[in-house]
Amino acid sequence: MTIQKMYSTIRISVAALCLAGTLLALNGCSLDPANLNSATEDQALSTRDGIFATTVGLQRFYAVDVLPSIVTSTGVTSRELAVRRSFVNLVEIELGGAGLNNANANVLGLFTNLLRTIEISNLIINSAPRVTTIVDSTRNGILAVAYLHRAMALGNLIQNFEQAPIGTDRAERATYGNRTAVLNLAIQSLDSALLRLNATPGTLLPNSEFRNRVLPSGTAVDLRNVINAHRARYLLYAGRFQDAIAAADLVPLNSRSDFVYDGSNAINQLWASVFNAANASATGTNFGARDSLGLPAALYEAADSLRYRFFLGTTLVRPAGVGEAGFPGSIASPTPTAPPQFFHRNVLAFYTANNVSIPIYRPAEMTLIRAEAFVGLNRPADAVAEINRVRTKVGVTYAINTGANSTPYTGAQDAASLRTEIYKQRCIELFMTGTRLEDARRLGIPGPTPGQVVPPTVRNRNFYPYPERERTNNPNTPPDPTI
Amino acid sequence: MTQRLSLWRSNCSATARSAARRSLWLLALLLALPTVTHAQQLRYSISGKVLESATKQPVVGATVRIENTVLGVPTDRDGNFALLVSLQPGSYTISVSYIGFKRKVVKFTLGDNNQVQLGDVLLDEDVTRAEEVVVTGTSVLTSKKEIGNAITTLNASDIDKSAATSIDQALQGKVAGALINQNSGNPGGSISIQLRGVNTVFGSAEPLYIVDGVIINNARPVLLNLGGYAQNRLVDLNPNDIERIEVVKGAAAAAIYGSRANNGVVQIFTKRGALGEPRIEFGTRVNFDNVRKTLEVNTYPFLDPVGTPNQRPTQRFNFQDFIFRQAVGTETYLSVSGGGGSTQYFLSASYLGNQGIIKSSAFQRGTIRANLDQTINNWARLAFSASYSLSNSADILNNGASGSDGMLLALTFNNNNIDPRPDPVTGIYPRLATTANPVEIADRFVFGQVTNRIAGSLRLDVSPFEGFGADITAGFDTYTQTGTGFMPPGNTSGGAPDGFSRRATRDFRQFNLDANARYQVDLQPWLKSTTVVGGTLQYERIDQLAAQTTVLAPLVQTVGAGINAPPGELRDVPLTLYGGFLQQTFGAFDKYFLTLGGRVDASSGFGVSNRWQFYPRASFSYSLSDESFWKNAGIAQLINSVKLRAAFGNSGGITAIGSFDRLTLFSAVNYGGRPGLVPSTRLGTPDIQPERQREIEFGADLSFLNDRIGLEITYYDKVNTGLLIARNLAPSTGFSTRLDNVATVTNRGIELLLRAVPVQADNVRWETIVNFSSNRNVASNVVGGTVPLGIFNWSVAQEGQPLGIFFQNAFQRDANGNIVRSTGGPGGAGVPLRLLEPNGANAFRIIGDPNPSWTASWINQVQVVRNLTFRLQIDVLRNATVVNFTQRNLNGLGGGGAGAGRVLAGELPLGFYRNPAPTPDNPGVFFIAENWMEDGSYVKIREASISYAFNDLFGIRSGSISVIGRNLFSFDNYSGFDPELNAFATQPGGVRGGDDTETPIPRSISIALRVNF
Repeated sequence: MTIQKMYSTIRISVAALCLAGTLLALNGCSLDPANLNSATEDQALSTRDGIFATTVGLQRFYAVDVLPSIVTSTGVTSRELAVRRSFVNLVEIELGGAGLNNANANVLGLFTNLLRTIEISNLIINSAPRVTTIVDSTRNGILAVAYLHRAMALGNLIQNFEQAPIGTDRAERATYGNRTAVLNLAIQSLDSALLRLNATPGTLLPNSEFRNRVLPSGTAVDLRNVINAHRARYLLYAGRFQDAIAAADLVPLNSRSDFVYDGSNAINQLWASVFNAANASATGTNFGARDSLGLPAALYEAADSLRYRFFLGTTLVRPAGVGEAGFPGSIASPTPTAPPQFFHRNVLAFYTANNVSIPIYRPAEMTLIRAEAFVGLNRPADAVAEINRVRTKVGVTYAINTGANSTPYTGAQDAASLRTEIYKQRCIELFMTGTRLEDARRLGIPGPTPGQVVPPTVRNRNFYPYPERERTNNPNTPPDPTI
Repeated sequence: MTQRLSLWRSNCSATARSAARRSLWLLALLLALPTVTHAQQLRYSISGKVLESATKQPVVGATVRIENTVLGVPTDRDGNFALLVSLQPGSYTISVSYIGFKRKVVKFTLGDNNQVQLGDVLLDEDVTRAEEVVVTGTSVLTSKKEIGNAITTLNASDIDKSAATSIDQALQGKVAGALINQNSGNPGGSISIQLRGVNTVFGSAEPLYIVDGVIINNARPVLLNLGGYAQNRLVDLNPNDIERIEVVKGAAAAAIYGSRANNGVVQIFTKRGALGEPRIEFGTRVNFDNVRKTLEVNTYPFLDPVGTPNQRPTQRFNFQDFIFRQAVGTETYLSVSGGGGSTQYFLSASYLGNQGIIKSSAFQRGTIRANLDQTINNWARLAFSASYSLSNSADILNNGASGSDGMLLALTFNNNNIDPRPDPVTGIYPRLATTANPVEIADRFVFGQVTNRIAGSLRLDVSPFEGFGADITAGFDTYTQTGTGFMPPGNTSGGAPDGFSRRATRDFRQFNLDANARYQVDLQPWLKSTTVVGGTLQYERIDQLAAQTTVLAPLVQTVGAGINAPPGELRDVPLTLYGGFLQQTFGAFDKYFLTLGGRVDASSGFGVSNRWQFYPRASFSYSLSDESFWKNAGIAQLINSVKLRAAFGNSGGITAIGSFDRLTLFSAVNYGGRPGLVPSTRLGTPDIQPERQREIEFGADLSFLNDRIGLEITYYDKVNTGLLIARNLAPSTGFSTRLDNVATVTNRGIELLLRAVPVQADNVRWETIVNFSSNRNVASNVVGGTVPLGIFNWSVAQEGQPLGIFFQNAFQRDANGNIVRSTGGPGGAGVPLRLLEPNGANAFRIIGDPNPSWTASWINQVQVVRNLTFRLQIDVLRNATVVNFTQRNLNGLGGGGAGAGRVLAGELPLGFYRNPAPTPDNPGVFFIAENWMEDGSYVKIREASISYAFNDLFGIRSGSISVIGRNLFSFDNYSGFDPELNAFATQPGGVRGGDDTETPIPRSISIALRVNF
């Protein structure tokens, strides 16, 4: 080999190596690249910032996504709301009975959202104790939020389903519990939440870091009140009347806690989906608040106008196919073929703008919980006193003042009559909170009969069927209820 | 540069660095292999001339190589070649190859005379193309004879009379086993290619494109909602630059491309320079496009049906008169190539400007390219390629797949009783019932996309000692595509009457580095061995930013002029892929060829536990006609050559895997003024792996009657397993869906390619080619039984059925299969009824299959007296269902169609399209999906041309003038514009046959002039 040839060989080899080396180095060549567009589960659950943010995300998910599915779907089933559009999922929930099948998208949405709430809560409950960089008092607040949301999800599941998964399972083998088991789990969860809040005595809980990083800004949420209000509710459901009264007593009636919306990042979705004055021109609302709250005449006092006017506006929409002549009295076509099937009005209250806050619970529920518990304890006089406190709210400062211009209760004082009265009061005070289906069942209001046409003012199901996706994939899914 | 280096490097993890280090060592080893010592070298000039043996015409662009060196050169326009080389004296072999001709080998000796004249080298035509040399799938130049799989090759002359805008369009009808569909007639085009069926459920079915060693992205980014239409980015490449295309169609052939090979590989080589004086080629073309077929509209002069008291008279308009136009386009192309000393160059520039047949739509593309070849010495050579393109489209909102306004949508969604032209006094555009006014869309809406693209590669070839060669290719492909959309305030649209502005930008970069080494040796005089080892590193990254606003200030078009602007961003969505392969070929007695190989891949998209994938392959070919018993038998007179082949291979598919699908992701939200994170509803798939394909193919290549007829026939069987499906989870998991590697799709079929020269006389030569393909596609293990794919969920994947079948509500039929019709009622008698389940629910049935039972093309070329060439290509597609949303909406929604007019005139029952008193079983045919299923079979005159070639005229050395027709006629029974249209090309690969007011494919007539100086 000549010297020249050798040099050129070396030269080219070196050049090639330099080229290859440079190009390799140029490459962003990792097999485990970072994702700048979203956090991974690992990152979110193993870091301080991640836990804080996930707890914020849980509250947002409940306020923005879960609440609307609770209020609208069960509202239609319990006849609070009318559907306004002819999408098949909407028509099915308004039809109810056997017409509501396992594939219904609204039922699926409700079930899925509640289970997701449990999953996110459990992720926080399991992960937050392992992130040692979070100070104890903040962690306690975070855990209280997670336990509360888990309880709310469990409670809403058992309000609407005969049985409910008592936890989530990524292997699709979640086990179900009956009403007692699920309510007990919800109550335990709330007890844990309270325990956490009370764990560090002497400090102001929640601490400022928790308030500034995890809870919504301002003073929208008094966590302890929200927990106690839900404890009172589920203790009542579970039949532990004395405990329910004790829990209700802990909730000051002149305080409120809210789901908050800013109108751009987090929108009040009930404003968007329930017909109201602000969106009256839009044809896009799926639901409308039914005239007379969708109640039969026996449960509706026209004289109680102040409270009705708190929720219902003056625009009355007639059912499809109902004639112009003599409107609203005469009905040209008695069986509307398309939604809306029911007279409904524009909704007011917390649903008139995309940034209006919605109360997490209504303080008047505490009074009605006491009333119902007294009925259960066979103390009718005490029950009537509580009922009248709500009926004649003059002078009583409720943080959410729906008003009241009614007269004291004069009906019979047997348990059934009192429960019917309590149902009537709950229908108005807890309007659009998603409890009416549960209330009607629990308070003995007559429901639908399998195989019969469901009257327009009677709830159209007792329980929802389990979603098809659950049944197909989870062999533990219980049989569907008959109606 | 330093800064950029560090930026790129910041992503590099330690493991990847060590892998990179390993690759470097490998490379170093390869290059450090000893170079053979040479004796004293002398300079020689080796020259000759390459001619067609039959006609004695020069062969332009034939490759002339000195074997066992990197020295080579293409022939010039006169067929001459001249190699100026430094070599030691001795015996050498020169090989001359050109596509369509048999390779010729000439031995010669270098001695004292340094001017070596090899004289005329005559190439014989290779009708069967058995001798063709290909590289795709083998990574080493290999004669087709030695390959066990089918491979399709095309050269420039196969496509230069197609008047196509893009490469994929030019390939239509020319590749057996390929279903190439023009989805839209928009001037920017939208083409879909499926090679041997669809091999994925949710991913893209498009093959991998490689241009001069660079992986070229062919995505369809949807930056603007044009209603389902999106350009595919292959449109940025200039078809005039192409020298050669090789197509392999599945795992059996493409296994060495590993995880990206499931959909096949299309490898494209651009033209390169030849030694000699500058060769200038100039081409120009003018094309005239118009709509081939328009739809019949409602001409009934009353708004009310016949028999209504006091029928309201009305004037009717044909909106198509305001939508379509006669469009004109031009294309200009210039290339200069040549070379001197050890350098060759090829430079080109082009401009294409096309108007669309829909008013205001247009497409322009400018490209430049530089290809340089530098011979460093007799064993090292550099090849450089670079291209830049600027594509610019004026888009129109034009269909209903997802947009709410559009030109053709205005035709189908509105009645035709309003004159859409602006008021002559006020200039105000009349408002239509449902959508924006088409005249206003053309006049005032501004939608467009601009793409800047640079792609290039540098390749080093070394051949340091006999039998050994290695190459390194570094390539990159990068583009920025920007879409802008503007609708002025006070417009007639339903979606954004107060104005709309959007700007979206997508940055794409792709980089690949490939190194291959090969060693060829004769182990025995009868046993030849070829060993190939290679490695690849591929990286791509996507960034996207989009912002849009509504309610604009007047006279301002930017996004800032409006309100509500939450921009959407995708930042650094990466994909990294490492691969390595080893392949061994044995050739025995020049008759038996066996190849065994395997590829190993790792990608950032795969789950950690499935990160490394192995794809084996094997192929065998047997040249039966080389056996002496065959040669001596009488049959050899009839059948000249017989090659039998079989191949097996595995490959992967990643088009359905997102960069981070293996992880459960939490997305950013905000609540109560606090930043938050919420888990996605999709559970991550930690063990996600590529979709895998196993393909077996068998085939035979035959030639008859003295090579006048060549036949290639192939049967293939592809089984794709582990296809990703977004499976619905039990909600009690806390999630809604998860991607699971569960589904299976098989494609089985045959391909046939017949080439013949029926007439070969002094003055007439007739060449004919027939392509035929038939594919059967079946999906199985479809979790959930029926999974929606697209076309408003009408197109589904269903257990045991072909992908994309239409599953929707059907006609009620009696025992004989006849449609049951209504007998009276408000809708009248004779309306087809809808099938219901016993419980009263809508009954869904399989009502159509969009996959053709077979496709074929027939290409004829007749040359008369060497000057006049006639060319005709006919494409046939049989038995593919098309869902005709165009007619459905035209008659059932807007009422501007002829059918709606027939209802008014009483020729059809009143409730034919929509029953005024609908019942579940009699809603009117608008609501019965089966009514809109049509046979999309067609026979199309795809290309027809007449060319006249001339020489030495007005100082022009050679040239041709042609009249070229494209999509001249379609023979079909389809009632829409064109059965080929598909407004859903951005949906998964299996979704076909959705005609939803997509722009019709124009009839195009071009006059083209091409001259060489």
